[in-house]
Amino acid sequence: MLKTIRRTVQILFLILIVALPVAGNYGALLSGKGQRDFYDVARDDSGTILAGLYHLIHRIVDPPFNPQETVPKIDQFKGALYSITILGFNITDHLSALIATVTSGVVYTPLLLALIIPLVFNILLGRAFCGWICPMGLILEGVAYIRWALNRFFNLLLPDIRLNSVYRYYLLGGGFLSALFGVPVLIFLLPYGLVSREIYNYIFYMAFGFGGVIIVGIILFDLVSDRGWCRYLCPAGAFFSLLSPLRIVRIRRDKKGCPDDCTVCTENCTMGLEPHRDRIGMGCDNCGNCITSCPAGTIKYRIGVGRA
Amino acid sequence: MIFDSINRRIFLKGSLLFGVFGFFGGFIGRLKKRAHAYLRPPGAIEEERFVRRCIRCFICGEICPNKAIKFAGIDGGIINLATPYIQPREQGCILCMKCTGACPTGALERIEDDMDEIVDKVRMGRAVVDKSICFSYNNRVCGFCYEACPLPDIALKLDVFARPVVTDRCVGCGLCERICIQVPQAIRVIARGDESRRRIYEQYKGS
Repeated sequence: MLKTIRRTVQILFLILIVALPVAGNYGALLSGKGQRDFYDVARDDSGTILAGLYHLIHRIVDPPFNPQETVPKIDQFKGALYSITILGFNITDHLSALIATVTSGVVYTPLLLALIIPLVFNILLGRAFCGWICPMGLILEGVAYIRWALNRFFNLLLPDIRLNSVYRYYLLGGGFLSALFGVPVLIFLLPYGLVSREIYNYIFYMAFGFGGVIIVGIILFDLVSDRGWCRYLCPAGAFFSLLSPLRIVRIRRDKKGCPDDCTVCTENCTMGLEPHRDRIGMGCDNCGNCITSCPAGTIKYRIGVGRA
Repeated sequence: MIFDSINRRIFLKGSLLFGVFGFFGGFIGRLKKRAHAYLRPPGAIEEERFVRRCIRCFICGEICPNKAIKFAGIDGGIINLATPYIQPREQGCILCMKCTGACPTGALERIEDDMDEIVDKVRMGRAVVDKSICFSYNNRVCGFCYEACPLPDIALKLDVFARPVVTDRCVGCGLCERICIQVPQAIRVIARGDESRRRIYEQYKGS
């Protein structure tokens, strides 16, 4: 049940970050059609599959709306998980906002307003973004499943490289060090940004950008290391972990009914933590795999302030 | 806690990762391979601050009704990667100023959709006429650039022989370059950051 809800939320967010560029592309097409005398005359709007699709739809159902009214409505929904504009209100991810602030050395006031929701979400729910929203998390869960299937049915015996999960904090720190030099390298390693940018690139230009190379690299790494990117390297996960010690939703194990020799929750943990020994710490993404897998039903979410 | 597991070896390795990644970003990331500056969308702040402020969210490209805003690849170096630019020969900027209002980080300053304000504030670049190949400078009649210019008689004037003359108030939208019927284009926009290139271009092609 919990797993189904989580998967649904993940897929809904994936649909959202696909739908927004599609809508934007459609709006551009529509505004070009509506004001042909002012907008560029020779528009090449048959370049992408999507443009052909819109043409097909327009040929079948004549749209009852006019561009002058529809385009401003579409313009109120823009962006991706990085920075999303809903009904004209901008919500920007607090990590990229911090990177932009550190790199440029200027605090931009509207940005402070935009990062409130992600920041509060992060502080209250911890790393829940990773487990419930991040599209890269969804992709890498698929990769982990493929990895498991390759090992199980084809006897490939892929290695499982285990690093220390502390490395991601060093990577985050290195990213901020380069940000101090004025280069936002970290921006290109934020997985949700990578995925949403490549989706945008594909929808607008039918091509993938340089981020695609990084995504393929991450996927290849995850094939030889079980959820290795999220567990050991992801700088965004590291940043969200650092803000999570005050979270109010935690995984709690009831010691009474818990058998001593059972490690099912630890085997199922996506982040490689050890719930059976209560060693959860900051890395937990509140995905709830331990809750659903626990045969004794002793692991639950606990809502409340403070530890333990 | 997660930091319990740090021993000396992990600390050294992590510090190496920290240093290599940080200095890679700091120094190698600043190498620019491109010879010419990018033509930035309208309202872009000064180039050096622009690439630092931009979070590469692609909202400007998504909101652009003319699909004029493209995103740089790795050819411009890491510092320019995925930053917005305009390739006017493919698609020019129609000065609708939607992108300036949509930028979440202020890398593009907000400019109202008002012609006076646009003429005052937008400085993307400046068009340069290549007089050696421009039809109007070579005993023919053309005038497409003048027709395409969103600021006719302000940014682009016609002299007594109906030849295009770019003034200092050109905002660099690139619609003239887009429309130019000569191949290669006889009028082209040179980005704001490329003043020396523009001067060379004017000196050798302009006479």
